[in-house]
Amino acid sequence: MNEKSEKYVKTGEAFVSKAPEILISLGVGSCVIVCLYEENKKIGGMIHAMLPSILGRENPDKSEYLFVDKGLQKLINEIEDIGCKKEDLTAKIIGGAEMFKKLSINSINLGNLNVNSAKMLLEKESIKIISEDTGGNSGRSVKFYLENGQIEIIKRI
Amino acid sequence: MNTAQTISDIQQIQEFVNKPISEVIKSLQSLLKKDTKIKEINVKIMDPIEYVNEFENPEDTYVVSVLRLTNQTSGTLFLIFTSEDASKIAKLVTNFYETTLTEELSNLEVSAIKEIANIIFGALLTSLSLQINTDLTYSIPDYTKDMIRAILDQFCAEIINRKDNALAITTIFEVPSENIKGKIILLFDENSFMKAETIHE
Repeated sequence: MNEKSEKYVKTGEAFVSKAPEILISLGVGSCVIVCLYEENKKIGGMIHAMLPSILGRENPDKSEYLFVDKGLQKLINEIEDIGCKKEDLTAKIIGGAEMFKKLSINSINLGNLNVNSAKMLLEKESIKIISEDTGGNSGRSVKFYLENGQIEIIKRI
Repeated sequence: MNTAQTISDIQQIQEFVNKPISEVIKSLQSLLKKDTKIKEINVKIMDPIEYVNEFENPEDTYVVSVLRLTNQTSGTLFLIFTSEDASKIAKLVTNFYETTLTEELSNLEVSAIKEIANIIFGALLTSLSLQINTDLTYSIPDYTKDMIRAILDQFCAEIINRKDNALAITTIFEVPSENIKGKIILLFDENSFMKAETIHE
């Protein structure tokens, strides 16, 4: 019997798994979570990225999953490597909040940049975004149920 | 290399912040008219990712006031309470007791917390400024109540964008008679703070 297990995906991490596993990210602020899902095989992946782009920040000591552009591309490749076709994947995007609007440096909205970076990469890879819960000014926790591809979002305020 | 990674460097930073933190506690004691103590001062130099990922309960909700330092000494100051302790300390300051049936803070309590943050940040910045013999520029404090990791995300991301390591100075204080605990976190770019310290020397 397959037991439901939970895998916590922390900042700068990504994970690929299959049903009945549940992928979870807790306390997401300006970071972005992208959940990729292949419905027929019930295989999915989650990335918890913090910055929009790795450009100019290449550092072998840092996880590539910290960066939306590099990390999400790597996650797509990993899902393809285990037998899923890119055209069968769908994406959901969560996060990218602006927790303190008054404290932004030069009015840069980091959360928004993260979300846009994810959208650009998904568009480039022709992966359809089927839903998103992004922006705003509150934190989120995310549960991704690989049994059916559903997402549960928890907000504390 | 101007980085602080040895035990003696950490001790030096700890000694450096002792006075400003003591000033904060004095101000708080005078405001609350209750004995207030430093329980712990902890200095860590670490990867900001480790810092955000090390919270055992990242979903826990806290009442947080934030102030950002700008220019030469870039960093962020946080004043953190649980909702329960925020409510208790607000009642002490306002001497106004009302019973709410939700965990939400009343407008009066929020105002009191903002006032406490102004006093704490003011005392801390004045003392730090004197110690490094330079004017510090900073933002207006902001306030929120949310999951702790979500709150720290943006600030850790900004440090990663600029530097490899963060310097996190965490002070836990308590008002024993009221069983109130609070936390002050100073989160700097590692090198930014060392620059300030060099000015002091």
